[in-house]
Parts: sequence; C-alpha cells; structure tokens
Amino acid sequence: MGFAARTHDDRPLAEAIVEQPGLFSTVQDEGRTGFRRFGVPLGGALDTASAALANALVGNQSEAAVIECTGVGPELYFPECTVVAVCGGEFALFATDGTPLPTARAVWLTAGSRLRIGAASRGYRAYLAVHGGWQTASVLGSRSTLARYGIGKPLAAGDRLLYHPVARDKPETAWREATTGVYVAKWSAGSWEDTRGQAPLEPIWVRAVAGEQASAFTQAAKRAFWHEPFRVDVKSDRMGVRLLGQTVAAPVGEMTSEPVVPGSVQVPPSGQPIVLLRECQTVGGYPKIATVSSVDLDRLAQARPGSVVRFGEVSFRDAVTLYRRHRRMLRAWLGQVRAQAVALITV
Amino acid sequence: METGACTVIRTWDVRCAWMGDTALLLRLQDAMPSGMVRAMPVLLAIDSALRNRLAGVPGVRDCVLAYRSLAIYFDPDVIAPDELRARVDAALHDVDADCANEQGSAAIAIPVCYGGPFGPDLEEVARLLKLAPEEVVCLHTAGSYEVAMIGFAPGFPYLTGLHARIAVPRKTTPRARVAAGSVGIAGAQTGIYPFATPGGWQIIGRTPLPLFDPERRPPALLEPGMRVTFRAIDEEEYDGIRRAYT
Repeated sequence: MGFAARTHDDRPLAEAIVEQPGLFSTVQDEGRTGFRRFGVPLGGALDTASAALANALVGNQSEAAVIECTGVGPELYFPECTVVAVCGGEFALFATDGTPLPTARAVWLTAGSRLRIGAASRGYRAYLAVHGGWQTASVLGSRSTLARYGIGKPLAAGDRLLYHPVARDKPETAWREATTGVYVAKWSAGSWEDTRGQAPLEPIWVRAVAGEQASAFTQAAKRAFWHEPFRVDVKSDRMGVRLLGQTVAAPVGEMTSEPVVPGSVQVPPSGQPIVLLRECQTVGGYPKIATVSSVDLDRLAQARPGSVVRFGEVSFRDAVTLYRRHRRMLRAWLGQVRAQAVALITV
Repeated sequence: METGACTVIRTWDVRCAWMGDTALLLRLQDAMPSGMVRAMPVLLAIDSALRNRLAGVPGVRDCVLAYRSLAIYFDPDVIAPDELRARVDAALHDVDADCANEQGSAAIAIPVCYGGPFGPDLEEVARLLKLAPEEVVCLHTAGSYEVAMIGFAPGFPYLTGLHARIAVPRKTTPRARVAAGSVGIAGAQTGIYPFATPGGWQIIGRTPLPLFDPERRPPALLEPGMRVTFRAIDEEEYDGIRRAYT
C-alpha cells in the first residue's frame, strides 16, 4: 500500500462504523490479477478513474481500497480524525448535522464526525476514499469484495471498517470550516479537458472495437447495434450492463465457450446485448459483436437503470492510442492532485 | 480487429486475434478433418511456452484457457500490443510438437454422494434416460474425465468424457440456488459447482471436497488438462470428509 508517510505511522487503526449501508456499497481496489485462470474475476472499482481521483484527493496511490457506492451511498461514523473524498457520479454528501458538502474535494473530518452519502442525481457509482486507504483483509492479493464467491460482503449496518487516523485533529488554513469539526479543502482537483472523474451526460456514448466474431452477425444485427440507442436494464450489476432495445439477432447455432474480457459485448439468443464489466466471469459461450474500448469502460460504470447507451466504432489501433493518451494524462493529473493533497494533509 | 498469420502445431492452426484492446485470443482450428490430435495437449503446450516467455513481463496480467482457445490479458498502457504479439509468436515457435503429446497424468478421484437430498435431479435424469438411478451413478463413476475449462465461477470445472448414455439437457428452468459441491450434467458435459450459485445443470450428487479455497495455492482444486474420476460415497463418508475440511 502506498500512502503518505508519517501521518499515521504510530497510531492504532481506528474503526469507522457503518450506520446506514446504502443501496449496495462494497470495498474495492484495482482488482485481482493472476487468478483469472482459476475462474476468479478481475473485479475492482468499476469506474477506475473516479476511484483513482478519490484516492489522489486524500493523498493515496491508486491501489488503495475505496468504498464503491451504488445509487445511494452509506452513512459512516468516524471515531478518529481523517480526510476523505467522494468522486464519481453526482451524489449528495452531508455532514452530521445535514450540512451539504462538496464531492470531488478533500473533506477533513475531526474525531466523532459522521458522513452521509445520499442519492445520485447523475451517474450511478461514487467512490469514498479515506486517507491511507480502507484496511480490510486482502484475499488473493486484493481487497476487492467479491460477495458472490464469499470474498467480503456488501456493507451492512453495524459493520466496522479499519482506517489509519491522521495525526492532527485540526487542519491548516488551506481548509474552510463547513460546519463544526468538518473542514473542506479550499483547493479542488481542478478539471481536465475531457472531464474524467465526472458522470457522463446521456446518452452515454461508448466506443467499441468490432470483434472478429462480428462477421457472424447479419447486417441488420450490426446496424441495430451500431446505430440504435439502448436502455440499461434494472437487472444489470457489477458483472455486466444488460441492454434493452432493438433486437440484435444472434447468429444461429451453438458456440464453443471462449475467454471473455471486461467490455465484451455478448449477444444471447434474446438479442438484448450484455456488456461485461470488471466483475464478469472469465469465459462465456455467447457470440460477441464487439468489445467496449478500455478508455470508455469507466463511463459505462456510471450508467444507471434506464440510462441510454449508444455505441460508436473505433479501430483496434485507435482504441489503444486513445487509452494510452488517456492513461498518460490521468497519471499526470493524479500525480499533481496527490502531491497537493499530501502537502496539505501532512504539513 | 486484426488477425495475424497462423502458426501450425501438429494438426492445429493457431490463429491470433485481438479481443478489445486488452486481450489477445489464440484460437485452435483443426487443419485436418479427422481430429487426429486432440486440442488439449496442444493448448497445454502453448500455455506452458507462454508462461515461460511471459513470466515477469510488465503489463501481462492473466492467461485463461478454454476448450480450444486461450486468452492473454494485458495492459496496453504498459506493453505495446506489437511487443506482446512478438513475444507470443516467439512462444508459439518454442512449442515443441513432441511436448504436445498426450501426457498420462494421474487422475484426481472426487468422492460424490449421489441422489437423495444431495442429488435432487437423479431420479428425473434416470427417468428421462429410461435408466435406473443406480445405472446413472454406475455410468458416471465408470467414466474418466478431463478438465476442459475452468470458468462460470472460481474453480468450476467443465469436464469432458461423459458417457453418451447419460448425456441429458439442462433443466428447462434453472434453479435459483444450487448447493456448493453439487455435481451436475449438462448435455455431454459434467461439472461441479464450487459455490452456491444459480444454475441450470441437472444435479445428481454432491462432493464434500472444497473446489476453491482462496487461502490455498493454487486456489482451485482442478486446472485445465487434469484427469478426474468420480467415486460413490455414502452420507456417513460425506460427513466425515466434510468435517476434515472444516
């Protein structure tokens, strides 16, 4: 775990208490690698850029564990002082006494504070980072919850989550007091030209690479997929976004199961595509019409039931170029935000 | 999408295709009509060569085997696709046609308590097949199986080698919850549910062995290419083995 040194080294861990769990809140990090050959999903935060930004705002490296909130976030009690940030979709955020707090900004909580993450007005997922990262148990090299297979559980009322308290109870002048004992950083993460770390506007456009199985689909099926809007089904989850819309006719005949990847667009016999997300299984037997490009997979994690999604085709080479450029800019931006945060938390 | 030239190993064409921008899929296609050489030994030899060539290479994340294909997952921000492709081509050249021969590995015997509450579909399966339940069990335990793929859930083995006489379609309505350890049949395959999950396979018995344990290395009991047999046990033995693991 990489986090700012000397702010919490010698202090015992504190236990945040979950007072309200929210709709579906889980601890996630960057996921499990090296175990997919045993059928273990990659998993991890679905909107990786938002999780990384939340971490950077509190001075953490991107691999620190965060809490992924879905639709409505949790309410937590912090017995010891800490710094938190919430990023991703536009979620309402409140202090103990109901004072609204900003998202995408570091918030200093003195001992005995409560934080409530309300409902999302745009987007679907937000990430709550705590300075030093949530200290839950690491299983198969990751703190990511994989509730379906007994690795961690969604938050429940009364759960206790370990964190490193920060050494000083009151911040310096770079913070303004929002309400008693709660301070908001005067600086923000700033913005970035393509507004990563914010919920996308609808319709949510995602770029995808046509699979080499695409040739098995009829022209009509391909036209429906690339030119028609789809609505996100309420049955969607961390494994995949299920889409409803014009039928994309699946090729006839049985297919042999093959490995799949987060982003794979499977078309089951119903003709309603499923876009796999990071917690997807490792193999699948449905034909795949396309694969969502890595650069746009975070956007899809912000699609909520009812959201409208549209696909645009991108070549394999362009998808790689776009992703590399995105990562390069994200790294530089996160580096600046993290350095600023570390300076203002550890002074 | 770009499909590269293919490499031929024994009677198999190995074709490479990018799957999105984070995976390279290697697919085996039978170059000879009669299927002289089985795909599995060739796939395992490729997997082994890839492990040698790709071990410790930054940006290479995972490798997953399926029936006749294999995916290498990578981070295109860390390793350029062209570089990965060159390394994979080198690995394919490493594959010695001889090591793609059948290897007579020892079989793992899986104890199974058939029927009753542990195999709620055994009677129905027997009725569909016009066999006695004992005959279904007899044919299931007489077989020698091979792990063709791990998937669906962590540690879930898809086993080939089922006797054609006991091949039976999936249930028309899947169960909302299949117990962990359940042994099922779906078409020509048999398999074991490592976790309590929804599932549509016909459940004929249950094993007390844990198929997946995140504290174990490797975490899965079975891996592609392993040989498996089934051994019928009674409830008493089931409970005994189960206690040994808890």
